[in-house]
Amino acid sequence: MIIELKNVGHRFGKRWALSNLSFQVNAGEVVAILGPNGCGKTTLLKILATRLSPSRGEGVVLGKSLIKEVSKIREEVQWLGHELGLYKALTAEENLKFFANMTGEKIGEGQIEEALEKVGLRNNRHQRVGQFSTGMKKRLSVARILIKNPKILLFDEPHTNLDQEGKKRMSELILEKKKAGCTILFSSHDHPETIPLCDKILALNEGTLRFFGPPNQIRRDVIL
Amino acid sequence: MTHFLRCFSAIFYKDLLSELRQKEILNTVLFFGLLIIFIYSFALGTDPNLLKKMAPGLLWLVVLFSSILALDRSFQSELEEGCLDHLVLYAASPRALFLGKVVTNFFTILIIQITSAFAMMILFDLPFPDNFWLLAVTFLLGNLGLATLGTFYAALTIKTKARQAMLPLLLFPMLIPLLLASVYATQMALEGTLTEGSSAWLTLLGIYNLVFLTACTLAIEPLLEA
Repeated sequence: MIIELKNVGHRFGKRWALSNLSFQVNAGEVVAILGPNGCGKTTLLKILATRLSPSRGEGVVLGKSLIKEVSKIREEVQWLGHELGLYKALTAEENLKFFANMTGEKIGEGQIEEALEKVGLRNNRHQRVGQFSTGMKKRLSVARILIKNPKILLFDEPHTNLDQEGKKRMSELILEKKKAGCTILFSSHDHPETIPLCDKILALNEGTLRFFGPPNQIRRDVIL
Repeated sequence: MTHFLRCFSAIFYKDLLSELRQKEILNTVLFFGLLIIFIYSFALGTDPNLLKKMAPGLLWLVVLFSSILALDRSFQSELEEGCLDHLVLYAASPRALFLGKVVTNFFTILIIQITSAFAMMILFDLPFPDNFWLLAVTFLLGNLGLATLGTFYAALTIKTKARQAMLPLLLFPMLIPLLLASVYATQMALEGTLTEGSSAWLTLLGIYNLVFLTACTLAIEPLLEA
């Protein structure tokens, strides 16, 4: 088991965004987090990414405590949220090199080229990110993930802001990473894109767990 | 190279490259500083003794007010597109991140200082300082303190609602000892007096920098995580 949460809750002020959430994810599984807006999908992903600390309960990721061993978890987990965290004054290549330096990894020209090739941005390597469309920025942030090669991937709505080609590439990337043994959790509103990709669905509503299990066992009304 | 040094140099290089390409900070800040000096030169009249007497205080006030704009911007750029969140999650050393920003701000303030000093020499008709090296050391020490505390408070206020008002409100009272020592040491440099007084002011600046550089570097991690 690679992720285990026990009665995890998180509140913003007086409002509980998540309450009493307990589930386990095995290594190599792909889990889709579904639910309406404001149900706690992003909060859950941020807790797993260690960007938010649980207000109550406890969690273990890769055998390390979500509260006490944050820096160790961060070395193995990658997060891609709505905000892509790219510098508009730098080129695509410079952005990739900058974040590689921040993690302390040495990357070669070949790795950069390969990552950009996979997301279809090889010809935009020397273009500044400020000139990129939203979809191109998203693809570049995916290239950043490809370079780090993490054990756990956390995506907040990976298919959003992508064209059909981009969505297809994103789905292929998720399946490719799964084959490589990576555990992936992603939130989504795009059910037709999501269901074929995942081993399990985690359905949330108003911060509580409504369903956790294989897609073929879920009742349709749970995710509507 | 250690991870710390890689993070530190990456932040410094990234900020430098961004500024060279976008010129968001220096163009605005330098113009603002020169404008204040220009207004001072009209407001204070032409009495050379008065101008020479007031020059050190005015110079440091111009540097302080202009630097606030640059300091405020230094962490603002990290908030755009959620870059700060990614930096924190990329296991980046928060101390390296902070010190990288301090060095960037140090050089930005140095450019402001040198430009302002030359502008004042021309507009106030000031002679070349009698003790150049005392002036240079005062500039460097005063600048380091301003960059250190300014960067720290910029990080502290980055997520507050009235950020642009909060930064000077919190920072200026903390800078009073630094400003006092810098102004008096600059005065002595202009007059060419190298007395025990000037070395006492420099010692104060040195201790101030040591204390706050250490304290801010230690305190930055929980601040960036919040």
